[in-house]
Amino acid sequence: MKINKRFLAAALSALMMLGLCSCGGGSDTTEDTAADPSKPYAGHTLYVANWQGYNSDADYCEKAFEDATGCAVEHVYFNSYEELMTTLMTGGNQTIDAVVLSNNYTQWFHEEGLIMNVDPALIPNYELVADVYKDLAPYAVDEEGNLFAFPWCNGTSSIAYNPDYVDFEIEHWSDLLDPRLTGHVMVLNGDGDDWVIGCLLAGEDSDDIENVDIEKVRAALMELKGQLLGFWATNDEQIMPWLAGDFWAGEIWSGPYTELINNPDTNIKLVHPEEGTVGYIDYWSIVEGTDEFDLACEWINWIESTEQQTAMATGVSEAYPGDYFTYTPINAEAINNLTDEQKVILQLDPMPTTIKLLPYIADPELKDQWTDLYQEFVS
Amino acid sequence: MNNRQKKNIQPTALWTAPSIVMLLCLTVIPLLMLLVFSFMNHNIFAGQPWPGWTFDNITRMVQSDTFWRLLGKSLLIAGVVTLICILAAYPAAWAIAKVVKPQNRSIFMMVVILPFFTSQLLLIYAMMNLLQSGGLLLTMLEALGIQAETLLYTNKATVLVLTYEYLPYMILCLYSSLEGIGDNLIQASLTLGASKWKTFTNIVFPMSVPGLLSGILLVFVPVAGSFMEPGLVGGANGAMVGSMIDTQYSGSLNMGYGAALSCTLLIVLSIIMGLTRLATARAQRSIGGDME
Repeated sequence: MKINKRFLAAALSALMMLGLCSCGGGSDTTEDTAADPSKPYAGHTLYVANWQGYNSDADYCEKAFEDATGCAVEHVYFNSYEELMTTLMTGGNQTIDAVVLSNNYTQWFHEEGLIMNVDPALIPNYELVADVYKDLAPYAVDEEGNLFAFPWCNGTSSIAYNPDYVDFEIEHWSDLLDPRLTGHVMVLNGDGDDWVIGCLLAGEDSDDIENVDIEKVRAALMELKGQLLGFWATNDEQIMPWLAGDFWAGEIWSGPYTELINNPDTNIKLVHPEEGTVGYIDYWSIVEGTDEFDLACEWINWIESTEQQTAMATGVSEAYPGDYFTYTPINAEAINNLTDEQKVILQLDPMPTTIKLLPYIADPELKDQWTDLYQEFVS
Repeated sequence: MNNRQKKNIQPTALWTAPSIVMLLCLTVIPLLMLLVFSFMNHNIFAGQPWPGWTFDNITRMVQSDTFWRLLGKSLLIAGVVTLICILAAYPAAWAIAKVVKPQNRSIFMMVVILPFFTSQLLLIYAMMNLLQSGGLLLTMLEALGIQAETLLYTNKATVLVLTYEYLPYMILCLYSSLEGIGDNLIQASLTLGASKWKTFTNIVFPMSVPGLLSGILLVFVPVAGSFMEPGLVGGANGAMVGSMIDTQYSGSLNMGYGAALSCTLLIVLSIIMGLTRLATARAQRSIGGDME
């Protein structure tokens, strides 16, 4: 029995020694890495909030950044921007350093003091952002000219039409009101998109929605409603009526567009009207009060680099191969490097000239008015 | 002592405890929450921890033409669907309960509940495929020389799809009532000189009322609140009140207003169901039956 106790004590001591040694070894390694000038952020952890599976947690982005800087990247996932806001308001900003936000939420978070202004000089790759996505007020720049959100990827919902059924050129949103299209037009069942389309039809500026004549927009939307076959909300709801020959023209997402353009049984033509294309931009912002400000800037700079943006747009990474989704980039060099086929798939051929982003309405009463208008339109 | 304690425990009461807890958690508490949320500001779960009390949701709802129009339309569509279901289900349920041999009934019942084995969304998509231009229905009509336009993206399509989805519930409810009517009662009525119609109105119908009421409840209420079907097949004018409520939760994120709309729909439906029950009981008494 005594032997057993002694043996146990010796074994435990040896284990403790091993543990201490390994701890010591670990810190040595960290020091070694920290001393490595190519790994300036060794020992640091960057907490980023994003939707799960939305690109930044892919190996070619997250792991590549970790390997390049020596830091660890931890993703915090959310299911809605409301949930993210609640997390940040209740102390999440002590752990989350950078967040992804859609353009119709950036202002809200900025006005609540949850994301901070950043000097663009700290993000050198911001210079590479294509002009159409850059310095967009009020989504990324406030009235004083402060930049608080950095574009990352985007999507557009433009007009598509089927030349097999439509024997005239569609160039503007108002062309959807042509009597020849009555009963064959579809648009998205979504408040933001419908507000923007209403503004474009009424000649109003959706970027300044507080000062828009809502009655003019209402009249325009009601006129459009008379043309509609229906509303869609998913890919299938666009593809099925298109292939059946019921849906001739209207708003379309990039996914169904890609599928239809590759379908030999149908015909499709995409138009980015010069007055504006409905779109969204997803941004990265730095959380107010972060203790990893420099690392967060480094992350955003990395994510806006030509290399990263090209990998995101093509889904191809030689260093970190995998089966990745593709997203439309905002980096001008990355866009230029795409093949013609890739540009078509990402709705960048033709390139939109004006993007009208989904609006953010801060005033609750005004938002109620616009929501009621949307409800009237889709009812 | 232990024996005395054991005697005090009522096993039957304990067995109902899980059901009571479930009822409390899944029905009573959510309904109370819905009522409370109706008087709260905007999005309850985002932003400020306590959004505050308000009557604005009720005021906005009362003033909303869209809501009342959609509510009226939803009740009308629910009424039409329920009526079609009753008319279609009665003969089917009667046939299964009284005409089909007892050993074959399970086969017919299986046919009735077969659509339940598929997801509701797939059923809708299947109907869309049948109804759309170039679909099976129009192709067959064209082959017969009949030129017709697609029903899809109209309110008629909504009624058709909802009837297709909810008809089995009505058949099942009516079958359970009709099957319980003794053949000797019907035989006695006919033997004593009553006509088939008189036998139906005085014996069959009164005795099938409990099943009919259950069927109406199971069809009318969910149809009135449906939003997926009108959204998919109803076209530009397809929206029902459920669509409006759905928008408040999934689009506008105005849960307070959504709760106010839901509560109102719930109250209206409860009143209609109560009136239906009263009217049926009165009709039953007038033709000599007893609802209970």
